[in-house]
This record gives sequence, C-alpha cells and structure tokens, in this order.
Amino acid sequence: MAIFSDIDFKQIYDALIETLFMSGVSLIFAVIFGIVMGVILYLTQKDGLYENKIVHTILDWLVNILRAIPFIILLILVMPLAKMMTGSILGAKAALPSLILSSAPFYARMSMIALNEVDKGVIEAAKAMGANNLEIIFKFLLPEAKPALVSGIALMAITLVGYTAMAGAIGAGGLGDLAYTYGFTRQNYPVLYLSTALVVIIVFAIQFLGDYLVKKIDKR
Amino acid sequence: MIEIKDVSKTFYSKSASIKALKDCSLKINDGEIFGIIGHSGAGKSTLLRIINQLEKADKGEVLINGEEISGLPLKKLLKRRLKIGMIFQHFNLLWSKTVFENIELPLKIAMIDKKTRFQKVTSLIEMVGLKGKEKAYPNELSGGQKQRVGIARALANDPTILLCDEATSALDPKTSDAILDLLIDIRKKFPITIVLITHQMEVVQKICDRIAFMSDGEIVEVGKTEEVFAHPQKEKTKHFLLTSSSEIERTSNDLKALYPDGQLLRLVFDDSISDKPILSGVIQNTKLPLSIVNARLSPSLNGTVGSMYIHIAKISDQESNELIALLEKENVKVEVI
Repeated sequence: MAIFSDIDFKQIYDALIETLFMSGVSLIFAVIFGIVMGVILYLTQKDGLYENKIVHTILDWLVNILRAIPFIILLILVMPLAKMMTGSILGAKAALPSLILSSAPFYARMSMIALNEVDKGVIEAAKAMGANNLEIIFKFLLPEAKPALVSGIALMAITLVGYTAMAGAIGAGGLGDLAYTYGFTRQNYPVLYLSTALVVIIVFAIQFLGDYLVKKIDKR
Repeated sequence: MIEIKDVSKTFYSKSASIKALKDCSLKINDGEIFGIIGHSGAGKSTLLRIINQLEKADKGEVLINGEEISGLPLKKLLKRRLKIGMIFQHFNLLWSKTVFENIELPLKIAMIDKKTRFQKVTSLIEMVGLKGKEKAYPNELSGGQKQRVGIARALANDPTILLCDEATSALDPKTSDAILDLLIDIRKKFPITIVLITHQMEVVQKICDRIAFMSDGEIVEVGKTEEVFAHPQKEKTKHFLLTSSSEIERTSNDLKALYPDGQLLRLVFDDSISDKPILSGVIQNTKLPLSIVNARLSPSLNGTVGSMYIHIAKISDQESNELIALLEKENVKVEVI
C-alpha cells in the first residue's frame, strides 16, 4: 500500500481532534452568547416584552457588522485579541476568539428568528395565566422555539467546521491546516483527500444528528 | 361582580387612530354567563382583555368584587390573574408540551407543589373528558379536544372568572355545541362567572343569561338574552340580528368560491319593499347583466326578511358604485361580498 505509506496517521488523528476541539468549544460559547443576544434582541424589539429601541439598535448593528465581515478577515483582525487572551497567534486555542466572534452573532440572529416564530397567542395565554416575563421566557418561549434552536445549532456547527478549516490557513491546526500545508503545498494528495473526506464525514454526522434530534423534539 | 366603568381605549398606528372602546360601562353578576356580541372590529375583544388587564384602558376603571384591578401594581396583577381563566379561539396551547404539561403550567406558575399539581391535573383531565390523552401532544388532538385542554388549563387555579375569546369560532357546529355544553356544566359545578365574546348568535342564544351588543366601540344594548333577541331596542341591534348568522356567512363563502371573479352583492330587504319591482328597475337603468345566484325569504321576529345574492361577471368600479347607490335609494341594504 504505497498510498498509505505517505500518511502519518498520528498526525491525521491529532488534526481531527484539533478540528473537533475548535468546532466544539467555539460552538458551546457561540450558542451561549448567541442565545443570550438572540433573547435580548427578541425582547427589546418593537412590541417586545422589554421594548428598548436603544439596546435593540446597538445590538442589531453589532450583530450585523460582525456577520458582514468575512471570516478570513475577522481572523486577521482578531489576532491581537487572540494573542492577548491566549498568548499566541498560533494553534487551536488562538483561533477560538475569532471563531466565537463570527458565529455567536450568526446564532443570535437565528435564535431571534426562532423566537419570533413562536405563536403570539401562546405569549398572550402565558400573560393571562399570570406568568411574569422570566417565566414567559423560560417556560413558554424557549420550549416552544426548541426545535428551531436545535436545528440552528446543527447549522452553525457545520459552518464552524468550515471556519476551522479556514483558520487552519493561518496556523490554527486541524484538518484544514493539514489539507493545506501537507496535502496541498507538499503535494501529498492522499493526505489532502483523507482530510477532506474526514471533514465531509464530520459535516454529515452533524447534519444527521441534528435532523434526528429536531425530528424527535418537534411535536408540531 | 365585574364592574366596567366608563372605559375608553384608543389604538394608534402610524397612519390612524382607532377608538376601540368609547366610554363602555357594564356590570356582570356573579355566576352569570354573559355574552358580548357584535361584528368583528366592534371592540369585543378589547373589552374582554380589559377585564384581565391584557389591555390597559386609557380611561375608566375595572372592579372585580369591589377591588380595582386596573390600578394594581404588576406583581399583584399577575397574582390576581391566576384567578381569571381565559380560553382562546385558536386554543393557544404549547405544542411542545403534552396535554398534562399544558394543564400543569398555570399550577407551576402559581407555585403549587408537585403532588397537588398531579392530583389537580388528573381531575381536570377527567372533568373535560380527555382521560387517556394525558401524554398526547396538542398536534394529535382534534379542535374540540384542544379546546377542552384550553378549558382545563384555564380552570387549573380555580378561577372565579372565565373569559372566553371566540372559544367556539374555529370549531364545527357539532363540536362547538359540545364545548358550550361543557361550559354550562362547569358553571353548574363551580362558582364561576363566564364572560364570552362571539360573533355567532347561536352561541349566545344557547348559553348566555344576559348579553351586551357592541358596535363601533360602544355598548349599544344590554339585557336578558331572550329579551334582546325578541325585542331589540336599538336599530343597530335589530340590524345585527337580522343580518348575521353563521348560515349567511356560509352561503357567502360558498358563493364566493363559486364566483371568484366579478362582483358578488348581498341584498337584504324587508316587508315594506318586497313587492316593489326594484331589481327590474335597476337592470333597466344600469343595463348591467345581473344574475341572481341565491335568494330566500325568511320569517323573522318582525315580519319577513328577504335576502338575495346577485353576481355581475364584469363591472367597473364606477358602475358598481352606481348600482349600490340605486339599490340603497330603494331602501335595500347592500353588502359587497
């Protein structure tokens, strides 16, 4: 097997773990920040439970700006911040701030849309029952929006896997880095194809898991 | 007793302001089933929401058993709302929760302990006739069953008032009847006042002790149901009773589906003009190719009332206005469908 002799499996394994680490950790933070921002966007919008034009406009702009910056550029812009936080501009950890910063606004927007799709009648019923705003958010809004929120997580996880590959280009490690530095520049095609295949498998697995979960919790 | 005193409410949109309620006053006695009827847009829904303060009035006050609910601070108001149940036209259930969990929600909000919650929900499910459906999701239920869940949920905290917002409007006549029977049953079993709004006359006729007729944000007439139906005092009420019934609504919808193009008009006339050759005069005058697509005479409380649907396949706006003006000149009531 001449082809496999060119592959360092330990290296591939390390890259796989790095990719999963970067995507996983940034996903967790992006979901937490995103959902908080999404809820705030939802609550402060016009006719919201805590209508507040100033807060809404500022947050809305922030989300839009961060989403408008292409990821590869954000990656470079955030380098000083990454260095400040992790002490380095290289490696998987250093890629986290930019990964989170680019995906959290994405999820914020998605959760706002998910919340807006909750039937207004349900909120009216909640108020009529005597629920306070916190109860409305946690007992009514979030449970009702759950399927949309979960499918949003799957979508974002896939996007993040793609982003980590790009982050690889500036030395973050992971499968993207491996495909580029070893596969492409050193013309080690088996490595290039194998790392690509692994990325595709990860994406498929996420999609499958996401669809399964949504189907299970969606009782509409 | 629920007392609504001089309540007014105006809604503002970018282009216009709509006076939803104009100095409305109403007294609803304990244990009564009280109906508020009127066309859509008459302000019924706003008036109902004033009672549990989902809408705040611009002016006036609402007293429940002498307590002014319109002035309560939010925390007290939320607590007060536990004792005012509400059901809705579209049920407003949480589809992500089972029947049991839906009914349990108001009890959780009232901080009832788990054991009591379980007992309460179980007995409510039995009362509304949904035993065996505890674990079902709303999506798996029929419209009537969903409304039963809505009713059980509204009664969870033993309210003294039940507000019904067009509770049977989305249901077929048979199911609607069964839900109304359930409401009558509930009133027998519990010391509860039921306030309902509807545009369906059959509903108020069937279950209401007293009714109020609303039009354009005003309470036009209040009285015992039979009395208002037999001897309406105000012109507006008479007109409403003559022109609205779900049968008319159905005929209108059916005809509209049959004749999607052109113009469809509903003409209503009474004894005084029923023997005049009005329509032939109109045809001669306008030269419009009218066709009569449905007509009936029905005996009503004060003489005979006729209604007729005409359809014109091709008509300009100007011709249409002329036609309507001609008909109205002859005291025919015209409704564009």
